Order: sequence, then structure tokens, then C-alpha cells
Amino acid sequence: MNPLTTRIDSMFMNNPVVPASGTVGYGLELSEWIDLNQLGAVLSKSITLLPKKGNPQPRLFETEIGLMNSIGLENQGWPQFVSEIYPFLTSLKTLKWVSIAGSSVVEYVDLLGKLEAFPLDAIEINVSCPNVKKGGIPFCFHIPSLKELLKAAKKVNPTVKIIKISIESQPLVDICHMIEEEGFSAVCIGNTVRGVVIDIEKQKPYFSNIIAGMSGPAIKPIALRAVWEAYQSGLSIPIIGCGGIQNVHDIIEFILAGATCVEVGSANLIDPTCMSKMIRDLGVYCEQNKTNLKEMIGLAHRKE
Amino acid sequence: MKHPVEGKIRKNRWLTPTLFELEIDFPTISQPIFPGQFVELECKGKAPVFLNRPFSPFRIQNDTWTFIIQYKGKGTSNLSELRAGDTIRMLSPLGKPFPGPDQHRRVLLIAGGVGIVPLHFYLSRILVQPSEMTISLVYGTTREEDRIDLSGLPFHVQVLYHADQSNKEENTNLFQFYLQLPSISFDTALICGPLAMMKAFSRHFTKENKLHFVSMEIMMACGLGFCKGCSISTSEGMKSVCSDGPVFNGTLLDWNLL
Repeated sequence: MNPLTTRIDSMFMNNPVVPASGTVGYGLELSEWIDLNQLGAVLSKSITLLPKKGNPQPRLFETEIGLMNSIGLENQGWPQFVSEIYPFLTSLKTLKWVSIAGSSVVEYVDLLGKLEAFPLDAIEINVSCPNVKKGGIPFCFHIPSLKELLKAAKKVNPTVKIIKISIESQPLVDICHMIEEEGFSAVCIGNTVRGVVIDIEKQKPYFSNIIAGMSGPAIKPIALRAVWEAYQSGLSIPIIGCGGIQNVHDIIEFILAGATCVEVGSANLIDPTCMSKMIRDLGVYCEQNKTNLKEMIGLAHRKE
Repeated sequence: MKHPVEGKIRKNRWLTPTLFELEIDFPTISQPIFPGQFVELECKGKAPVFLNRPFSPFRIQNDTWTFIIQYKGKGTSNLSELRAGDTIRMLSPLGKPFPGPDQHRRVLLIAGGVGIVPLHFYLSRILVQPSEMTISLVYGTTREEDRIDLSGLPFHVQVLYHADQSNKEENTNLFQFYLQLPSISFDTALICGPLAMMKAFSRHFTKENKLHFVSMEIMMACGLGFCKGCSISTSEGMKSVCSDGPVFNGTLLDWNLL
């Protein structure tokens, strides 16, 4: 039996390694480097209903232990999903996940409704987007907005739905339980961490939106803590761990802390073949330790 | 399928106080690289660096790739400290190339500073100069001693050198120099250099209805088309410098936003 098998709701995965949304394009770009079918699932960049040009340059800032980005969800909207992305995804044998983003509850619901005609294995709902109705406060930082979104989204589209929150969402454990109570299949913890860079020559913020998202090894312990707390709180839906994973060691930490599967983000930008190596190395770890994913999930809590 | 390749440093030496020449042996390259395309080099070393860095080769002979690199920050600082025998990882080939030399009879190359590197690679790949082909190169550096030696090309190129540091901020000295030259006839121009320089040339050639291509440089995270960090605005929508470029028809770029 494959020791890397894991499961979210009714969805069985061959292994727990999934690319984080937005770090491998729509998947097509990554297919030049690895066989996508070896991944636990392919997860697309977030799509929005209408095309988005994204934020002006500069969009990137490198720190000593990570990367800050302010991309602004650049994508070509629903028409491109229908004409290019979906046909590509259907050519794959592995699980097909799509990430969606919106600036209003109506936009999320519209997208979920449209996606009903396009069979997928899971839909990840990115709730870190600014809610235009609430002056741009991201849904995941405003519990009434998030609740409204969850209540509306749960009624549309029977596909497995994952809610991707920020590790800064507070109170994190309560939010995870709210997602569980509303009937969603899993919670992904988390997204980039908000940060600021000041250009000291121009003496003003470096990014035009001022706040940008920090990713990479710097955020890993914070994401791991969030996963730990969510699991410890007795959450019964699976947790997808995401934040700063660079190698198999990091993946094992997330699994032992309670993640059912993981998303790998910025590491893909440095080595597009890294997820293949992680899957291989995870298999070796399980073999050497005579264990499997199912046994490993949350094991560190039981050895505390 | 592409895969990262391991190389071994053959030689690393300073050419000028700010430029160094890095020679790396890559014995296992399976995919060819064309002029205008680039590679991502791992830049690990003493200085903490998270991302790879994009470079164009200067020349490739057999398995030996030569890069001429400007010392700029932490990544290039680490590369400058590599010694013979050290190993390095590379992702290649990336991006879209210049239009092939066979497509144009009279080519004008315009290089500002280290912008000469991809254009030299272009020249080095024209193995035989067809009798009907003429190539001119307008090459500017801030100081004469920053010029890279262009000897060793197998055919004649008319080279017009210029060195000027009077207006370093604006980076348009080379364009002013070009305007004073006797007119050069060309079918297509390939331009690589500082943004302000490329902007000045591209606006001029667009006005004159001249076909020209620029090799854009912008901060990239992946260089692979994954992250949209290097997107720029064009008349055909947002484009990624790394995967839709770095070579673009200059007329299509939205220079006001760059």
C-alpha cells in the first residue's frame, strides 16, 4: 500500500504535496519541468470573474530569508479559465483543484456557480482578498464578512471546498471551527504574512499598495504554530499546511503538527523540480521509519 | 522535459572593477539556448540570498559557458566569490529569443553597459556572415575602461563606441550619440541596456516606424512564468518579462508605465 496516501473528505490523494496557488502559474508552466501527475493535486493560480491587471511594478522584494510579493491576483478572468485553463487541467490524471478569489460575496458565489458546469476535484476559496464592501478589509480579517461569505458559498456547488485563510486571521482557532461548522471540507492555513518595505532613498513605501505578502522560510515557524493550534483545538476537518516549506523536513514537521497535506509555494520559484524531490524523500522517510501519512498526521501532539 | 543542471566553475576573474567573467562547465546540457533567452543561476554564498538570478551567456564554446556579470548586490557578490572547482546549479533555457539573424539582412545592435552581453551572444552565434548581411553595433559604456573586448568574432561588425558619464542618471547619452551619427540603414534593431536608454530608442524607432526589439530587464522571482512578479503592460495586455519576453517588439510596450 502507498504510505503517502492521504484524504480530504471524499477525495483520496496519492501523496500530500500540492503547489500553493499562484506559485506555478496554472500548472502548464510547471509541466515543462515535472510530470504533474506525480503531485498530490494540481492547484491553479486564483481566478477571478473579470480579468485583473494586477498591481503596478515593483511587485517583488527579496529578503534574506524569503520573498515579498504584491502581485494583485493578475489573471485573465473567467473566459481564460474556460478556453485554456480547464482544458489543460482535464488533460491531467491527478486531482484538479482550482483557486478562486473575489472582491465581494456576489463574485465568489457567481464563480462557484459557474464552476458547477466544470467538474473539479476541489475548489480552494482564497478569502485573503479585500472585501470592497468593507473598505477593502480582507474577508479573513473581518469575521462578519467571512461568515457572510461562508454562508453564501456553502450553498453553491457541491464540489469539495477548501477555505484558505491567513495565518494572521484572529482568533484563528475560532475561525477554523466556524469553517468546520459551516460544512466546508478543509481549511488551508495559511497564506503570505503581511509586511512592509520602505525605500530609504525615496523615503516612501516600496510597494504601491504599501502592504505586501511575505513568503519563504521566514514564515514557516509561524505557519507551523497556526497548524499546531488548529489541530490541538480538536478541529475535525483536515488542515492543509502552507508557509515556507523548502524541503521534505519541513513537510514532515507540518504533518506531525497536524496537517493532512501541504502546499509548497516559494520553493517552486527557486527549483521547479523541488516537489518531485519532496515526494520521493517523503516516501524514503516513511519507509525508513516504517510509518505512513495516516499515522504521522498530528503525531507530535501525542508525543508532547 | 527540462531539468536543473549542475556546473563546475572553470575560471572566475575580474575584467574591470565592476565586471567579472565567470566560466562554467556544464557537461550535461541537453537543450540548446538561443540568443535573447536567459538562464537562472543559483547565487548561494556568504551573503544571504533567497532567489536565483537571471543572466544571459556571453559566449558558449563546447561545454563552457562564459558569463560577464556586473557586480551589483548580494547575488552577484556571491557569484564573484566562486572559485574554480565550485559547483553551481542553473535553470536553462528560459524566455523567448531574439528573432534569428537569418530573418533580417541589415541588423543594428544597440548595447548600453552590460546590455552588450546578450548581443555579443547573438553575434557569436552567427557563424558565417552571409555576404548580403550587414551588422552595425552601437555600444556605449559610462567609461572607456568598462568596455568589454569584442575581438574574436568570426566576421566584420561595424562597431561605434561611445563612452560618456556626463548624464549618468538619465542613461540616454547613447541615444543622443546615435542621433548625431550619420544615418545607419537597418531592417531591424536589437536593443539591450538601461531602461531609460531603451525607452528613448524605442520611442524614436516607433515614431520612425522601424522594427525593433528590446531585451527587458526587471526584477524576477522565478524566471519561469510561475509567479507574475515581472509582469509589464503592453498593447497586447499584461506580459511576463520572463516567459513572454525578455525580448519584446518595442512598439508593443507601454513605456509610460515602465
